[in-house]
Amino acid sequence: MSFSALVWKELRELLAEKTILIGVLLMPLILFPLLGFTMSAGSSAAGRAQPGYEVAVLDRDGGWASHELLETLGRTGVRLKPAPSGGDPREILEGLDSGLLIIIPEGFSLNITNYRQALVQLYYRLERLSISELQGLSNFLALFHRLSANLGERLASSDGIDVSFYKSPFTVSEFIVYQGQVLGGVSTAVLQPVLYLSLIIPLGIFILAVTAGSVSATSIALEKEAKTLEILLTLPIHRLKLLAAKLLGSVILAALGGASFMIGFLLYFRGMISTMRQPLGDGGQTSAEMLATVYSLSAPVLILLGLIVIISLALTLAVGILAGILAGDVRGGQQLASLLLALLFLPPFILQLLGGVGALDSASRTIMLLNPVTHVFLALESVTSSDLPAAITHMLVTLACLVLLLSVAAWIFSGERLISLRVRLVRKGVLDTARRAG
Amino acid sequence: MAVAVEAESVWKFFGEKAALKGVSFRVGVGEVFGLIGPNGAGKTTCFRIIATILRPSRGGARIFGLDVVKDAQAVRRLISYLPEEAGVYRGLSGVEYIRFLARVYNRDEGEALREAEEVSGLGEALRARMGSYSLGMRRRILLAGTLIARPRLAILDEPTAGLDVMHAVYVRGVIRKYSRQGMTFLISSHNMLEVEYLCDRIAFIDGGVIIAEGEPKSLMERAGAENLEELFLSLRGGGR
Repeated sequence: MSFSALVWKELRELLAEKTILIGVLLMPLILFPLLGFTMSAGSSAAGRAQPGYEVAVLDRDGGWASHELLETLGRTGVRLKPAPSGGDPREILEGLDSGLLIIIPEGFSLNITNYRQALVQLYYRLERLSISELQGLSNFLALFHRLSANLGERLASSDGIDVSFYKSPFTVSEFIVYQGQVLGGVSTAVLQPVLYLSLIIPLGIFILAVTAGSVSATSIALEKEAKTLEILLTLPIHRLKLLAAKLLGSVILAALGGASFMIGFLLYFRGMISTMRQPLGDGGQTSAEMLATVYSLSAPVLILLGLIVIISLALTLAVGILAGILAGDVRGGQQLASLLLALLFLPPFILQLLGGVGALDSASRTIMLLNPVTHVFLALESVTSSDLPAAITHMLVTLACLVLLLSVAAWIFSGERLISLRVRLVRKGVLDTARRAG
Repeated sequence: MAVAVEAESVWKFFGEKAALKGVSFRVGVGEVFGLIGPNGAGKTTCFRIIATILRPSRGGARIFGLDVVKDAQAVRRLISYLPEEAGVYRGLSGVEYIRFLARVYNRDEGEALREAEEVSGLGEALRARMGSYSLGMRRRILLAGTLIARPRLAILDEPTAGLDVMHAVYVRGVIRKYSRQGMTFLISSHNMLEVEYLCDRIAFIDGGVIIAEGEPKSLMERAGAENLEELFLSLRGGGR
């Protein structure tokens, strides 16, 4: 009876905190679609050489070769918009609001007819110096080199020479073997959204975890700061029950946060799939097909993914609770929780982006594996690649670390340390010293 | 007289500093006992030990025969503690707080609410979130929470702190009423009139040592003091 009353009290107090409602419950629902939108907007610049993109063309030649070049370009799906003949290229680009201007100078066709190398001018408007913009330029250059090569091959062919053979006596057909599956026609452009997805899950968990940890630190530190702790400690309830109620309240919120995370993630995933149906390579896989191949979101995978999110949140909450116990006030608790969580989360998160634990030497790998959060990321990696036994193993290790962390918290909670123990952060120490000196 | 509280040579160290230096006193069942002293004298440390929040470094204390360290959990079923600077759960309403305590102490929620309404005098404000309460309102709801627990020993550190005269007088009346019903009180206060009105016996504590103990009237007579303030000053050597 008293335990359920305590859990109810914890939930009422926690849910009264607007930061919790926003941070744990609403943020994942907003975060994922927002990240998806940002990523698709960021990708649009890189997609300048993609079908449907509008290009301004100033054909000063008007001969057979320029017609052939533009016709071939049009067949790639790029939309051609005639540019006015007079004016500066900069003004033409701005006037037509176009990202690329192609100028085919006079004598282009004549030069080609006479077996002289002709020239095409490309004016590429760079909005800003970003990787995606430069990638767009690189895509166009590659496209024009291909067009030039194709035109040359056709000219040689009309003279009865198969120049393509001399230029390239062999061709390369790419395949990727991933988890026992052979994937053909895989280009960087196709892989990009898949890479985004492998980044977004840990990033989402990282953001959610730091918010939730800070919140749980608040739940205990607030008892100290609001001076409700002493009354709570004299209630006829075992100390471990008090701690368990605090944790259960936080875990219930974590589960709700986990559900919110999964809904947000599925919304993001469905959105990503629907925008990736067009093939980017020549007859290769679409990003959607690639995504569906790499991430098979079956029911067991989704359940495990949800469990990992909940366990990692519970771990974060436990770190937060420990920080709350150690700190003297809410601000100190939040700072300590953020510090501890950054220390725990950032190294495996960065490592995840740089190649994972497997890329480390054995000593560094051992150190990293002592961090429970490394196992959270490894579990995530395993579950998204459908290696369920490995995912479960890493989840169990994380769970063991969670129990250990809670045992420490319980040890502090059971004695008078909760009242007498204070961890003062450097900031506070410095301030106190300054105050004394003043 | 049966003993409710028995403190025996209680010492408490915080690091090297001794907050209590062999404090001993007894409180009879049904008594209102006042622990009086200046700031930093050791009153709160003493209350925290009796309330099972802190452990004595040396010596010990028993509540209705139960040891505050060994039988801490059992002691908590007999006591209820109102700290001097206690705060409220800002997200809960007064009604929700009282209901929560009623569930913790296995009391009928409706009955507990009626009692809390009477003790606190908060009326409709009980339904508002406690975060919106004034200092005085918070003190009254906390006092109500302490008393609806129906403890055998109520430990009240400055029970009327932050209350205006009207409410302070009302609260003293409430304490008296519960005392007449057999509840034992251990209180502290800086208000000597309050101490004189409420307490059957008092102990003066200074520097972690009990320097005088007895009935207020007999202590004043012995020292030739007209009131407790004079007695307090004379015990401390003229108010250093």
